[in-house]
Amino acid sequence: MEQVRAALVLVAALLALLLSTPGLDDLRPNELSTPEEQARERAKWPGFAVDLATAVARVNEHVRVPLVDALVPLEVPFRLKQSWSLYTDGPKRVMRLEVRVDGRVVSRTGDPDYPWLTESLQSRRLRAMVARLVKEGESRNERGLTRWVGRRASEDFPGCREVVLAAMWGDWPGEELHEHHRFVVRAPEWQ
Amino acid sequence: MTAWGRFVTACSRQEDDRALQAVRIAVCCVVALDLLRVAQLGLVAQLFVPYEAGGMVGESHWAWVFDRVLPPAVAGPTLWATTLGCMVLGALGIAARPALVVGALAYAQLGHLDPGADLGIDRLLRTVMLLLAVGGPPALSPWRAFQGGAARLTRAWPRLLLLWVLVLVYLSAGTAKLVNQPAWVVPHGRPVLYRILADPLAGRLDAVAVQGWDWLFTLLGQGTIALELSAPLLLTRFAPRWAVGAVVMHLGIAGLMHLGMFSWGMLALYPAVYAGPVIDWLARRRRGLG
Repeated sequence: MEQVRAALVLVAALLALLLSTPGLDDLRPNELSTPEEQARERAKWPGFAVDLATAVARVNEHVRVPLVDALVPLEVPFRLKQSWSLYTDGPKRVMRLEVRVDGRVVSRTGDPDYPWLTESLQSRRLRAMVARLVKEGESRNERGLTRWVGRRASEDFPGCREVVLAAMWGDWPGEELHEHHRFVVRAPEWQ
Repeated sequence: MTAWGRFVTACSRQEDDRALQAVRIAVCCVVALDLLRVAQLGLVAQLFVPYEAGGMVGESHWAWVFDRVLPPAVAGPTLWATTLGCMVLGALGIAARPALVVGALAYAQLGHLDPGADLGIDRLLRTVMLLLAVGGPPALSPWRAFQGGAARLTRAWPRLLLLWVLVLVYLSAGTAKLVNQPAWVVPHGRPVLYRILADPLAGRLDAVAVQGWDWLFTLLGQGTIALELSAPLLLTRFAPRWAVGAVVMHLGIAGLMHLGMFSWGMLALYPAVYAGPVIDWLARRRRGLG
């Protein structure tokens, strides 16, 4: 019984390793697959390192990724995708969300002078939405998020007509920001 | 003894069950508090409801199926309440195994409903919930689990598997950082950690006030990489010492970033490392006092 239990534990440990192999779990399947891509890397790194990385990328593409794909049905019901490339880099620019109600700034990310709604906008689940909206100019939840901000503005600033959510970008350390893109919602639909 | 023999012995070893009792209670409490925070902000009917039904969610994963059971406007909030209820039961040790499985399933459906708000820590905690549901010791209430008396024993394998998952998490995070941005260890431009901690969208530091401290951010960044890449020490007798660095790192993240339950969720797993030494220390102290 102990042998069987240990064998099952070993299988589980190997499956976890396969699903989240450090260094491979966030690689594109076709990483380093073209001569141009390899040549670009050779300009930056020693040749043997690029050869080794290319060989590892092919093993990943032809062995690990198909096995991981085969295990997707096991992962999906409990949403257990084992990929842990957490916080690999910081943003190249400073970005903030600025909310203006009828032209007046009421909220700005990380600015205590304009605190309206920032507690909610910086909460764990909304923060990712806000970051995507500001960084990428679009988000799968952009319509819902902007409508919610509009509705909240109509509650806290009765009679307001227009809410602008502006993505403010600038170089580090961010003393001067300019508007990169914006979303505008208007009463009464806030769409 | 062969390597396989040592592995079998390690998996079958009997140890105090309070480590896994503490992990279960802590994980359930962290998830429950995270869900309650959503309610406190008045966001349940927004974050867990599709746009067409009045909420925020624009696109869901194909595995979001609970809206076939209940109308979209109530499916998400019902799952929120189900997950919360299961976490409370799990923490109290009442029907904990089914509560952990059902809770993980409902929690996963919330993630499928809005994939953008379901992050790495959510996936990790669900993994741990299932591990505890399958291999954890019989769940006890917090007051029964930690009252005095003879130690209750359980097999070591679920705790070892949990430590293995933690090793993979840290190793993956460390290698991904290095592969994507070598400036973590080789200073080039503004330090990566500065850009993370002073990013207004995620960090709490004032980018202007701390911009002269590049050397400190570089050093802390290198320390982060060294810590993450040395995570296999978690499987050795040096685990408690290694974990001091990890605990400090997570407390630092909690204090310097707006990542919600991330740090607390990670710290909830550390009784797996610390419960043994703490229990031994308490026992020695009690003997000394006696």
